[in-house]
Amino acid sequence: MPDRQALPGEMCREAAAARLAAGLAQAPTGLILLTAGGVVDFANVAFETALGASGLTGRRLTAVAPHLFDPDGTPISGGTPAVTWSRQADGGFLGICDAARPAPAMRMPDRDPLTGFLSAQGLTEALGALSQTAPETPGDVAAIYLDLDYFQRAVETLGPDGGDTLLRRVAARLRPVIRAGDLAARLGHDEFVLALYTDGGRDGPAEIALRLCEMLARPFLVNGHQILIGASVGLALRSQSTGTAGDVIRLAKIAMEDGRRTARGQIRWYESAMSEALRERRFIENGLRRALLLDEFEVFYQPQFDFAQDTITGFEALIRWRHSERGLISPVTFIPIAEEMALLPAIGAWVLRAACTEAASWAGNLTIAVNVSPIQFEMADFVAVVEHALKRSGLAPGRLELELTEAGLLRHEASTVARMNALRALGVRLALDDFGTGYASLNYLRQFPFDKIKMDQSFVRGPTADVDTMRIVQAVAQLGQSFGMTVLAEGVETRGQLEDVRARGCDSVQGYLFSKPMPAHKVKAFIAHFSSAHRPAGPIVTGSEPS
Amino acid sequence: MSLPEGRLLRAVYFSRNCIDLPLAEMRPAIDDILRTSQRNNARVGVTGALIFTGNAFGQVLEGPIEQVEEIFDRIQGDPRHCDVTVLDICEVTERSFTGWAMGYVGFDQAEDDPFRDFDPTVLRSQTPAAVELCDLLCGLAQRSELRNGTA
Repeated sequence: MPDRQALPGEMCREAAAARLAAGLAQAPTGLILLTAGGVVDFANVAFETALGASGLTGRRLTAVAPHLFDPDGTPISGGTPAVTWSRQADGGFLGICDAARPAPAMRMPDRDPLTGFLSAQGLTEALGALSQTAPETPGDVAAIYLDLDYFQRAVETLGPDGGDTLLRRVAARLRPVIRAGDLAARLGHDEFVLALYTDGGRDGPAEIALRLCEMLARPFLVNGHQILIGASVGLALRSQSTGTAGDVIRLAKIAMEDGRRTARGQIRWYESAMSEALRERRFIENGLRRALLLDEFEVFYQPQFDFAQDTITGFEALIRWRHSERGLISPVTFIPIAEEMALLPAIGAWVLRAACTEAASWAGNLTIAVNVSPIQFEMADFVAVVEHALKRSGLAPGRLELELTEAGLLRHEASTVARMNALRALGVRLALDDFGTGYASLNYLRQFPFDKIKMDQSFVRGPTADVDTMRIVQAVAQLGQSFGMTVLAEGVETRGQLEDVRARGCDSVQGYLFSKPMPAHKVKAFIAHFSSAHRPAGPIVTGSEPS
Repeated sequence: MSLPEGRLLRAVYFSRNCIDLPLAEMRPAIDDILRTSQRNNARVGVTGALIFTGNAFGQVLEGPIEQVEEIFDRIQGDPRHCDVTVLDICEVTERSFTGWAMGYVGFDQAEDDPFRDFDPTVLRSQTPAAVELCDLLCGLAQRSELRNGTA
C-alpha cells in the first residue's frame, strides 16, 4: 500500500495498533486483559458474551465474576467460561476464552426495545449461560422479581404512549442499582427481573431489592402528571430451586405474587410453603372452572327457628363443593378464589335456582334464605336472575329471602336502594347478613329497606359473649323492632345461648343447637321429625335435641 | 433566556437528606450536587433552585415539560436523598429563576439568615405549600444575589 510508506514509522505503528485493537475487539475468541490489580483493561465482545456481562472495562473482574478466581484473587484457568490465563510481565493477566462454544457465545442476547433490558427470550439465553457456571460457583444466584403496582391505573391516566414513557423511566431508575454482571430483563408488560450472583447470603440481594422498591416508590413525572406507582418484589435463591436458572425466576415470581396479595410495595423471600399454597390454589382454580359444568356444587340447608311460632320456619341455603377426588371442600377455601376468577355471579345464580327449586318441594310455607355476594348483587341482570329462579321453580316470592352483606351495600348507595326496592317489589324479602362484623353502622338499618337483621355469631358465642355483648344484642333487637325488622341470632349452639338471645328480644335463631347444615335429601325428614317431635313442650324445653 | 419558549412546567418538591455526614462536612457533597445539576440543567434549559436545611432538600425545577421530567427523574435516582414528596407540579407562563441553572440556598450561608432552621417538611400539611416554598426560594435567592453580587 503506497500511503503506508508515506507515513512516518510512528504513525504507521499507531495505525497498525488501532487495526489490531479493532480486530481483537471483534475476534471470535474471547480475550481479556487484567491489570495487576485485577481491573479489566480490555475485554472483547466475545469474552463479555461468554461471561454474560457487559461493560467490563475499568471494573474489577473479581467483583463481576468471582467464580473465575481462587480465594487469594488469582484467576483460575478452566472454569466456565473456560479461560486460559497467562501472567504478564507487568503482573497482570491475559485471558483467552475457550473457543469450544464460540457459536452460542457470539450471539447477542435479545433485548426489549423499550427499556434496553433483556427480553424474556434474552433472559432465558443469558440464564442458560449463567446456570452453566453453577458447579464451580461457590456462591448462589438470586432472582429478584419485580411487579409494578398500580401500573394499569397509571396507563389509564397517561394513555399507552405515556405508559411506555413511564416504563422507560422505570428502567432508568433501576439501571443505577444494577451492577455490572447482573442480568436485567423486562418480562410481560410491567414485570422486571434481576438475576445476580451473591456470595450465598440473602443480605446482598435483599438490599438491592429494597433499593429497587424504594426507587420505584418515589414519584414519577410523566406528561405533566405526578404518577405514584411502586413495586411488589419477590426473591429466591438458585439453591432453593431445582437448579436451573429459569426455575429460580419462577420461585421469585411465586414469592412476589404471595407478597402482592397481602402487602404491596414490599420484598418477600420465597418459601417452599408458598409453592404448596400455590399448587393448592391452582388445584382449586382448575377445579372451579369445571365444577359448574360437572355439577359438583351442592346446596346444604340449615334450619332457622322462630321463637314466636315456636318452630322451624325456614332454612338457609349454604353452598358446598363435592370434589370428585377431594370430597367436600369448604366455601371458605373456594369462594375467595371464585371471586377473583369472576365466577361468583354464575355460582350464585346456580345456588339461587337450586335452592328455590328445592324449597318449592317442601310442605308449608318454609322460607329459604340465599346468600348474595356483592359482585352478584351488582350484576345488571340480578333482579332478572331472581325473577327467573322464582318463575322456574314456582316458589312463592314471599318464601325467598336474600341475604346481603354490608360490603355489598357500601359501593353505590343510590343504585343499591333502587335495586333493593325492585327485589321487594317482586315480593322477595331482604336480610342484612353478618350484622356486627363490618362497620355495623346503625345507619344502614334506616337507609336500606331490610326485613331482617342476621346478627353475627360472634355476638352469641366465643369469648366476647359477655354481659356487654348481650346488651348490644338487646339494643340491636330493640332497634330492629323499631324499624319493623325481625332479628335472627346466628351461631346458637347451647341452650344457655338460646335463652340469652331469647331473653334479649331476638325473634329467631340459627345454629348447631338445632342442626348443622344438612344435605337436601335430609331436609324433608328433618322437617317431619321436628314437627312431630316438637310441641309447645318440644325439644327446647325437654332437652331432647334433634339429630 | 430571550428565546420564545413553549410550554413550561414547574415542579416543586422536597426530600429527606440521606447523606450520612456531619453537617459541617456537607458542603463538598452539596457542591457536587450543585455542580452536577447546574451542568445538566444548563444543557437542557432547565432552571431552578435548591434549598438545603441539614435534614431536608427543597427544590424547584422549571423548564420545558420533557426536560423537567427527565431532570426530575434523574434526581429521583440519586441515593443521597429519600422520601421525595412532590408539593406541586403545574404549567407556568414564565420562569421564576431565569438565569439560575440551579441556585442554592443553604444552612451555611450568612449567619443572619432567618431561614437557617427552615424545615420544608412542615409544608406537607399546608395547601399553598408549593407556592410558599417557591416564594421562599425566590426571596432567598434574591437576598443571596444581593449579598454575593452574583446572578
